Amino acid sequence: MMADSFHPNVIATDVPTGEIEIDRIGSTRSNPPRALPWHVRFGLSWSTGAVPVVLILLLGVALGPEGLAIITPGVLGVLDPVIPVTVAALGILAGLEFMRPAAPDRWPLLRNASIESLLTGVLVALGVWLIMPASADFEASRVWLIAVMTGVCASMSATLPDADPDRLRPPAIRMRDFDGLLPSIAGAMVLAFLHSYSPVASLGLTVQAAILALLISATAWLLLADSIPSTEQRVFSIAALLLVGGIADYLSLSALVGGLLAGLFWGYVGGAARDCIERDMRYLRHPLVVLMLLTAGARTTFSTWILILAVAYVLLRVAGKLLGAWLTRQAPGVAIPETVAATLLPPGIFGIAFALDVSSMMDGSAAAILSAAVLGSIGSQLVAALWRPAETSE
Amino acid sequence: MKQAVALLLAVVVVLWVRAIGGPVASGTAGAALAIGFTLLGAWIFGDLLRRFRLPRLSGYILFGVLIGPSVGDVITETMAVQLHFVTGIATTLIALIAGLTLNLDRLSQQFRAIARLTAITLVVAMAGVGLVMWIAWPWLSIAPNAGGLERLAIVTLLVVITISFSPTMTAAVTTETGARGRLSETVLTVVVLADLVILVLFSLAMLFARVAVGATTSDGVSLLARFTWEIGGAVAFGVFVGAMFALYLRYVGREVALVVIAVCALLSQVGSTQQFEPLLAAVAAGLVIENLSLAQGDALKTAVQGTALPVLVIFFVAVGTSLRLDVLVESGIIVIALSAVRLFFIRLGVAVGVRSSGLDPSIGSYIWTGLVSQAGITLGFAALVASEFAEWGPRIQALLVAFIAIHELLGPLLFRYGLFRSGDLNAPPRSPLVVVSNREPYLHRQDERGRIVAAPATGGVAVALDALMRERNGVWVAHGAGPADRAVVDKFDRVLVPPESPSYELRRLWLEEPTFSAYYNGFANEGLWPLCHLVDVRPQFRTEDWAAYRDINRRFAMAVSEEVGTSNTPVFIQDYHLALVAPALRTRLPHARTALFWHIPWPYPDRFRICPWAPEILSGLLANDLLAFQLERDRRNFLLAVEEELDVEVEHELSRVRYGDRSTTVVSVPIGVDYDRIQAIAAEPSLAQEQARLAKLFKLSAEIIGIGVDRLDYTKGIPERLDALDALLSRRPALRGKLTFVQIGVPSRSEIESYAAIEAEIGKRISAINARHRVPGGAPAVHYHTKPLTITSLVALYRLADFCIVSSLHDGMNLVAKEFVSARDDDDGVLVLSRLAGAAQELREAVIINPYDVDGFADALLQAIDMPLDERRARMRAMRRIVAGRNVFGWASDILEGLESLWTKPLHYSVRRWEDMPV
Repeated sequence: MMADSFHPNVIATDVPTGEIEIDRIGSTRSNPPRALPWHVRFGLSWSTGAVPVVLILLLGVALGPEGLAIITPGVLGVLDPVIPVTVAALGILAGLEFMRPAAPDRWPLLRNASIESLLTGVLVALGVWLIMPASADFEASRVWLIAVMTGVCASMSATLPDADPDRLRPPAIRMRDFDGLLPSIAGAMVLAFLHSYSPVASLGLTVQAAILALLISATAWLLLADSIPSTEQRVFSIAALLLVGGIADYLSLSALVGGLLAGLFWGYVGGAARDCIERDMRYLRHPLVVLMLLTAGARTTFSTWILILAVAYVLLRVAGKLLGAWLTRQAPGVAIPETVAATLLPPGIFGIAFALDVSSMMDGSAAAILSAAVLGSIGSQLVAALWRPAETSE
Repeated sequence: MKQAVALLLAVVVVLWVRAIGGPVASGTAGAALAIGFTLLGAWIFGDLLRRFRLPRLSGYILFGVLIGPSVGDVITETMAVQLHFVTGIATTLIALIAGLTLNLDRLSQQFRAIARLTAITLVVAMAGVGLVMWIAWPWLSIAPNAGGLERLAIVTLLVVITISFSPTMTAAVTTETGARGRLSETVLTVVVLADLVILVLFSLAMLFARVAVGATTSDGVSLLARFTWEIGGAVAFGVFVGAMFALYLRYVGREVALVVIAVCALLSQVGSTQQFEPLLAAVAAGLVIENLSLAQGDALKTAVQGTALPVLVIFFVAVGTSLRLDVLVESGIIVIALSAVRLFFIRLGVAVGVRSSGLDPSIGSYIWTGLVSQAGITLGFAALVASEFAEWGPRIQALLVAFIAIHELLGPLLFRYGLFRSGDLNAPPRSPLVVVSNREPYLHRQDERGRIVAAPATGGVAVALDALMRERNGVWVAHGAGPADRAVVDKFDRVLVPPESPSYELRRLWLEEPTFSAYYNGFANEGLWPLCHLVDVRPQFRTEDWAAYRDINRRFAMAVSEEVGTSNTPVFIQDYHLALVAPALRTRLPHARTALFWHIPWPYPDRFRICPWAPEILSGLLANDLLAFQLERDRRNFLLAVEEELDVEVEHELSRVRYGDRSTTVVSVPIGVDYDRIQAIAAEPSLAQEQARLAKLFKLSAEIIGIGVDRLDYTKGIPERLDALDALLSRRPALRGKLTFVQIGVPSRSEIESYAAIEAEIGKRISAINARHRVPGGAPAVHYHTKPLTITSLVALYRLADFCIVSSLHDGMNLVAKEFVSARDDDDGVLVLSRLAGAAQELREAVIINPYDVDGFADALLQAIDMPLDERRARMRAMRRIVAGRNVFGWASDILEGLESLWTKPLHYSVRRWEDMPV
């Protein structure tokens, strides 16, 4: 009684997505494994490090044009400029996370993450391509695109980074955080290709966009490297974010990768610029992600083919992730625990972010990709929640 | 220079993007780019202008003009339109902020006089300006063909907007100049009140204009109904939204920034669709939040501060980009003339108003200087007019933007002049302070050559308060305990300190024996100290000690009352030794302003009830205006004790206790260390020499060094620490001879039996451990040092250590933990911290231990020793961020500003926090 009243905050009252809990259990070696709370498993926790993905997606679906139509197409149009900015913010956070100093085993973990995401992506893409013939819903020439993009979305499990940037996280969770890097870059290349259907031109465009993102990163670094008031820091951080997202939006390229490049740059240069950007992205991420998920939910459309796509998405994704988890455990270099599958199965939010990225640049078929990603994410979360929840410790 | 390069890079990026992306055909694809660029560029440009003592806002607008389609064309016409994405939200946000600055408590104090002044000023100024505009109509080039009713409507609208003011610009000038006095307060009140009236008048004028231009066809009754709906509906809707928002903040409190934007969008959209006046609704919402739920208002302000500024900057740039320069050039002379007319009639109105309201003419002559500035609300009005009346609205907007630019330049200069002339600028920026503590900041003693020298106190709190006193001046009242203290004081027992640059007075109190011992050793340290610390030492309460405690506290109060006199100088009392100073002071100075910081823990009510004089202590503490504790838990325990012992009602929402005819605000403000000073010491090149000296002195040859720094006190858990070290060395014998733990233990209160006992026990245990774990030729297990170290030596030692142990059995905060973290700018070292120390509430990345669990404690020491470098660094970085963000100066200013805000908050406090926002 006395001890509890002394230190109410030592035990996390704010468990984001399960990883904190896993981390804490992992750090106290003598504790037995224990199940995550049900609301965490079902993606319903709401905290500084997480948003209830499923809940907000469903809310978006309910309020969207296909539901109660409270979020009308007009409102969605108003929200349009926010989406690339949100996606860019996620990319920045991912880049910073990857470049975190004093983070051991970065490259082996990236290799493992890439293996499992590639496997999942290819499996989902192939599956979608095989089961989805050209129909009235989808032009034949677009089927391959839908398959590839759906595969990219499904391959990611990364979610919001930890609420505490300095907390050390177990390898499995860090691997999950990295599994969006390769697919998002691959997806971005495909998006660039769609501009001209010319490899050379698309490569040129991608390189230019990368240089532009790095120029903005350098601009923000120049401004933030010195000690300046926090109000000013926040203005510059937000402006940099808007510019990174805005460039991608203007050029119809991936904001996720633009953000990722910027995040890698700031992570690399480090110092005050990195700290400011990281602090402000963390400050903004929650409202932005809520908006993003609401928008994604509201943009979801339903048809027989989309439901088939979503079911295939879930099943193939689960298969891919399980296989990927097994493979990464066999890979040398870093010890991955047996329970890594439980970490990789939840869909995270990067898949949806990329789907929105795609939807803002493509017409028609993009709706199918986004809808499949949204419904597939909800389904994947359900599967993850039921997946041996008692074995989440490391 | 860097900013200029950054701006240039941003321009290059935007032009490059436009070159490879082509023009934006439709949609919102350029919105984020345009907004990001304008935000970055405008801020840099505004900052540039500020260096020339020009307002930032002018920089934002000017930047908009320069990059806009009519000049630089960096932002194209399509992109400029997309900037207006934020306009609706921004105008509502501005109005919401204006509402949040309206505190009715404050306004009610001088309401009658100021209301009269405001009303007369508005009537005179509007009538005068209106008449001039009517006559000058042909030259205004707004709607030359308008006649009769339409012309009257446009003039009315123009007059209302022309006269509007800027509360935050006015507040910003007073804050920037440090002005304090009747003029600044009166002007702020007038401006806020006038803008509220103007909001209503604007609604009326808009309605009139709609009728006049034929935008609506209604009879008189329906017009009245519509006006009632527009105003009443707006107020009702705003009140409803404000109340809902307050409830949301109270019960949900998440995503406040997002919800603020959503609320502004809601007020803006619903206002437009339901024909409410959105700005009035937003003001009403802000007013409700500010006045009906104070705590929620503060939470909202904090959230809005983080998000509003970028929105407002973009809004001003958007205004700049939409500026039609041709109209501006055409109307340049007219604008200057109109500005002069406005100034003349405002001055005339104020002169008449001051005479009629009975306000002091010495300040009345300068009130008009504070009514010149215009900014956000005026721009918001102009934007609404431009969007609703396409035919002549944009011309009004252009005229007003030029108008605002002039007033932005002139307003601050004139107000500064007024403040100077009225004497507000000559007032001291801050009133002096009286600090009261048992221990004095400087002790005088004779050195070996017989010279009297002043030795400064080394504790973090004393150092911080000393720095605060150097800045604010005033008097520090303390017990004169130095051997040569009497030799240096004047006949009033005062001495100027610090010796090298005297800036405040130290008033010494001479406390004789045996009263001093009964007060200090007896009631304070044998009674209250063990009472408040949950350790196995029984508190001793003796009637004679209590009598001495009361007597000494009364004597402190007398000294304080002599120093404060009739002034309203705030009094900052330190710690549990002086719990009864405030009530004794109030018998002499009923209106004294006092704050007390209770440095040690506050026990739960059942424990506190042990004290025979618990009600007296509680009621004594409640004689303070502000009472501050280290932790939230202490604050809660105190409030519970008050409820149970005194049976008084606690306003939990406001954390305020009403007791007798007065109220006390109770807060928790965790103390920090002087982080910057420790950083500076850590960076000194001579530190390496000091480390070498200490290593030699303490014979530190071991591979692993641990450290503990404590006053020898039974609450510090030193025996438990030694037991854990013993267990560690028994469990891993390989560490014997390779690990040395340096225990700095400075004896204190040795006259008290319990302290003498703990000193003896520690000595014995250390000898036993060293004997048990001795290795021939190896380092001793524990090195014990009982002399105090200077801060430089401590920093050197902290940086030598691989780990530091703080194992308090109960501690208010424990600054050693924070000092250790502050000293480790190499990001290395492990802090092993008791979960029963207050610091553990903040430093969660320490290795947390329970000192009562010896095995667990030993496990934690092993974890600290084996911890990989990466983990050590990550943990230390996290802790350093926390310690740096909460230094001891922040602690002191939080308490003192909290104390001052109890009197000044209603207007000054609430407006002051918006000073960066050009509203």
